[in-house]
Amino acid sequence: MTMKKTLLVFLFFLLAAPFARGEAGISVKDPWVRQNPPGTLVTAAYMVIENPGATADELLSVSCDCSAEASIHVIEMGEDSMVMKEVPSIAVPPGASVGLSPGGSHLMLEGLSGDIKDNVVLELKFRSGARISVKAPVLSPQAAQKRSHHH
Amino acid sequence: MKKYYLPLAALVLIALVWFGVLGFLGTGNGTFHGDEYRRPAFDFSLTDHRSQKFSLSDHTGKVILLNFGFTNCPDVCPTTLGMLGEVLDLVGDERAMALFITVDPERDTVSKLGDYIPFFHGSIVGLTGSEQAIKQVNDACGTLYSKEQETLEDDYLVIHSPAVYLIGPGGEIMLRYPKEKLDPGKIADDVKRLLL
Repeated sequence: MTMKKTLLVFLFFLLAAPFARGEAGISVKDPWVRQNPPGTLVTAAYMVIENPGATADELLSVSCDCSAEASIHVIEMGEDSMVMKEVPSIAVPPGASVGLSPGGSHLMLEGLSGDIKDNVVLELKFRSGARISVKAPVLSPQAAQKRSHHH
Repeated sequence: MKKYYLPLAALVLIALVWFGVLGFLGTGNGTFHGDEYRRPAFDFSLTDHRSQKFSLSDHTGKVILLNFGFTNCPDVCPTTLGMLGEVLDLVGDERAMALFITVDPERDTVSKLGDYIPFFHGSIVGLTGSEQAIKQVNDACGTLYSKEQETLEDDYLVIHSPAVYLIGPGGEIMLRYPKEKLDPGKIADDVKRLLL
């Protein structure tokens, strides 16, 4: 009897598991945007994208309330030069987290509405249909340096 | 037979001195964080972000960190400039200097650099000049750069080296910091050691 009960409970969890995973969807942590230097209308946004689920996901597009354009960039190293390259998407494998950080993959924000400060709002769209809206603090060069030591 | 001894002995002596010098140089640089990158002393004259003429030879005796970039660069250049500002604060010595040389002189005018550079640090010097002068500095450092055409008509990026070069007190390029070695604490240690 107890054996049957245990089996039933086990079966329940087995069936429920996929749904539970579906709930723990993709999330964005530690977003921040580099304050644009005076006279420039371009900057970059950084964050960590976590996918605790069991299915692969993909960041497809980004937008910001602070800029006319936002695109996904990766950096390719040449022998002694580096090339920023726009890519259509960034894969976020199941159970993985993908970091967008200075000097690496990042979100490029072009056509800024002016000098940005305090916070901006970024909206990210994923292949799974998830849409995440995050408030990202705008960091000065000094604040960005301090931050890089803590992460 | 005997007449060959003298030149042979001289050759052996030269070889010994030569390798001795090389060995000395080698051990002398073993503890620097940056990669050894020996290039002969050179000079250049450009215009700084305050409209003043800047010649490298006017700064002999200083330890200079040199970086190439452009103001329309969204990620790498501001990251490196922030890092260099921190190095200057950590070293806290007026004999340490950081230079940012534009690889986009067409757009990066003196006034543009004047707005841009102080945002990162009051002591970083931004430099611009003729296309030819800037190419000469790149050649001296062994770096390449090229314009990359973007989709928007007037909006292009410049592909360039992300490395930082250290020029020693004698004006020679001594060390190179590739992207993965851009650590402000460790670069500051190298600079302090050279200023001792």
